[in-house]
Amino acid sequence: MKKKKIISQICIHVILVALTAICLLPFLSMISTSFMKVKGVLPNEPILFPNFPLYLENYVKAWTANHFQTYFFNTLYVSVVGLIVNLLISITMAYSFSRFQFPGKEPIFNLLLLTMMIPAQLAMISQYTVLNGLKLIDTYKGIWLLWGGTCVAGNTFFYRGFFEAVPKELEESMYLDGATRFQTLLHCIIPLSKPAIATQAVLAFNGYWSNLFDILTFTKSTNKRTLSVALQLFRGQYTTNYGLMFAASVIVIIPIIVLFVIFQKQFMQQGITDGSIKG
Amino acid sequence: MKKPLSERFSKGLKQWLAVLPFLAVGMTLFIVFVLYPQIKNIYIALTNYSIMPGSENTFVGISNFAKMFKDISTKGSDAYFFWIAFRNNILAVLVTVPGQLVLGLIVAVLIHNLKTGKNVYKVLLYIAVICDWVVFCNIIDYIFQPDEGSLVNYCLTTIGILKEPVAWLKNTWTGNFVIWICSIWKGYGWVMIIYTAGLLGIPSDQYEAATMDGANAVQKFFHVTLPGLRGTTLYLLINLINGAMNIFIQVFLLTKGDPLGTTDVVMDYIYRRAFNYFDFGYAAACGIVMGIVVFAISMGLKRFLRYGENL
Repeated sequence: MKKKKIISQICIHVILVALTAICLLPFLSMISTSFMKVKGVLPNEPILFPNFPLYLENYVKAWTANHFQTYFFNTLYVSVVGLIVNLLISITMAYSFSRFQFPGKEPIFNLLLLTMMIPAQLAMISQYTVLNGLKLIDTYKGIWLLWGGTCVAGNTFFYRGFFEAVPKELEESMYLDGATRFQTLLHCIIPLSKPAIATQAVLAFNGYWSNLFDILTFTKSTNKRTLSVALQLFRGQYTTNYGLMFAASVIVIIPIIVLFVIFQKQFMQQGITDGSIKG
Repeated sequence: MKKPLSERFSKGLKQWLAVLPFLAVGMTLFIVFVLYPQIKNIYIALTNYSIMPGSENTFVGISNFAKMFKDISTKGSDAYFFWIAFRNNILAVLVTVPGQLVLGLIVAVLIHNLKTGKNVYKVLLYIAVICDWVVFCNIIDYIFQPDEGSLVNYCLTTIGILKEPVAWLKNTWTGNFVIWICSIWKGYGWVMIIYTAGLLGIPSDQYEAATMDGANAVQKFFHVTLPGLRGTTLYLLINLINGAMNIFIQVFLLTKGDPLGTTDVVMDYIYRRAFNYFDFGYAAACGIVMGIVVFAISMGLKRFLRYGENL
């Protein structure tokens, strides 16, 4: 009986290793290509492993040429501020719905949920006209405000469940000590919901970091470009210089991979899954 | 026993004043950037809208909607391309939704039954999900290049499935195929994570009871696991169908709808109409039709599957 179990465990491992290998093979190919001089026509065999010594010129070139650094710091700037706006708005919104009673609360909440059923991208055309009317086209301010608005529905729904799970007794004792609403939020609800907030924050940051269409559509000037936009345009221009393109691509995804590895426990355990199962 | 109206009104007002500092900013942004645009879409669809300042937006009634059905069978008409794109969305739903569900479920069950190393597989298989779309599509584009040395062509010709290299992204059906593969590949890791959480929610005594009754692994899968994942599957189904009706970025980056719009999808079609041709009115009308379709599918599915639960 025990032997049978060990065999089945090994079988599962074999299947999973094979599957993981297939899924990661193209990524390996990308990384290897980024360390090689591949221009124009592809070699006769796919590149799976790089030649040694590694050809680092691609990385140097990718980092220094084509305003790449400007785009890198643009991306960092737009995502970090975007994330701060996102957190401030989502947390206060969810707090309103989880700890306050006010007329029309549930209808408003249902309205938020309803807008989640309609594909967000379809509103892009009128969002453009709204931003245009507010003279916010081609500004990061406009992008942040837009993201602040579009994150409301999903995140209010997501955080509300977590905030309502925080026991009210803790806050009640704080109120007895003369704490304000704001203080209980800051010192009780937020610390106790940290895992959920961290997960959602990483997801939001990832979304902003790799956002393509909002930046592409709502900004115009070249010095406002972010990495995704630059990479997409770069691909059109130098479609044959694979080594250079993939060196740039690797630089683009490294920050996201690092963040993900740091927070992977939260991702894999609760976070993204909790909120969704309740829905 | 209701309290007098004035008393209730002043109580409500007080409650609103208390919550307003927390609610005001978020609600304002939501109204300005989500709610109002959805409503304004309807207005834009009923006019020949122009973004030029000072231009007059004349009311054109339902003619933007009518354009979606005019000369459907004439090749090259607006309606023709819209419905080709719509067809591709339906095909994407039929292919990528079952693809992601089945693959995600199989991997989730395998990982769930492991004793060690669960997290390693989960993290590695999740990399495609968190990867930047532009980078991911660059990789897909690279491995599906028409050269004989591209990863896919090389593997398939070596095994003997293909006789000669295929220009994957240049033909209608191979192009659509690459788009489907791309969507499944990038999406199933998320399905897997949601399913592994769902599997944890099935009480283990149900499995023990099944073992007592002499059920084998396959029977347990169909009689315990699948029913236990019902809620999770419903959630995934609605999300994945929504996703497949809105696929956009992979088409925009991989085929651009080529050849001749035959791999296009509705979102890409709308985007080009609006921001390349500035045909805002018509694009908004297409968007509304698509929005209604997606909304109806989600609601219908919810109704239908909930209804079944009570049986």
